[in-house]
Amino acid sequence: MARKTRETEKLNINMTPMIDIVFQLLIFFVMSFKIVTPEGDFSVKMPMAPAEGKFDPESTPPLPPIAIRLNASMNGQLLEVQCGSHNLGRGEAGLVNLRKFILQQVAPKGGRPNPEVARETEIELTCDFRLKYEYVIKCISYVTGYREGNDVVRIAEKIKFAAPVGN
Amino acid sequence: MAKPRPQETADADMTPMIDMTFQLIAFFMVLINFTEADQNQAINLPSSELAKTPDFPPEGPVTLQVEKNGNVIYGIQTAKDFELKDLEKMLKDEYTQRKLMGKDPKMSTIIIRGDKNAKTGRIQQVVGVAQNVGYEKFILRAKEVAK
Repeated sequence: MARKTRETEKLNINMTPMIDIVFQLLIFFVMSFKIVTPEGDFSVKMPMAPAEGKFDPESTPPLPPIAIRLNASMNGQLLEVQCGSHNLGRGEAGLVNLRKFILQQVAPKGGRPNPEVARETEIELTCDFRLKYEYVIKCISYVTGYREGNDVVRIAEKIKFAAPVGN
Repeated sequence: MAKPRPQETADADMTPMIDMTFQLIAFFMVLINFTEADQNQAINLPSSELAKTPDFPPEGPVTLQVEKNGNVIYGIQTAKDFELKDLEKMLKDEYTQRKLMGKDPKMSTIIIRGDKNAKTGRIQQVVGVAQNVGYEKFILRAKEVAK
């Protein structure tokens, strides 16, 4: 008789506190969850210029840098794009022409630029102080490469900044 | 007199609910991002289709964020227009600290998160301050756009 009673006993664990805590944790994580947009990088190497008269073979590229000048309007919009003495146009169209111009320099025979040449090609950006930063990133995107399907074709890999113009 | 009904206890099976709840907790725990100090949401990054997510995290990163109005955010501190000297002092302290810890501070990477409407000159000023301290590796951060 005693044996029969033990068999029918049911062990009831009180789950309420655990469920309470679990729901509190869930609410905490849901509330603190934030969708973050993926961020990408452009690497820029900018060592201090060597003292006058000193030659640093590591920091001096074999090719002279391609000088790009970005002029801004009074409200910081991109006004004009120049490469050396060539005026390449205004606004976004100027940036498209800039890419074509640099591609002609890096790959004169057409086609994809040689990756080794791209690695050695240096771009020097001179911008107006008031130019909006988004145009600088746009310009870097245009001159460092382009997408062909899923591939990224590199045009130039080294970027440096000259002192800004105006204030 | 009616016979009293035998007492019934409703035993709902809680197992599936608890399974689901734990899975949800695990999901949010894995995806949660506490590094808000390094990703100020007030900064509207410029976008670029060529900006690439680094294959490995940068070495000894120091994040400098430049707001639209030119204020610089370093960690939780904000340097106002006239306080670039303070920023230089803070970066110098960081540089010395890394040296004392036996690390090469020149290998540290300065991450620049600039607002797309910030003035380029201001961002160059901030880069210049870091250069003066001795940092050489810089990363310009941009929002990745869908390819």
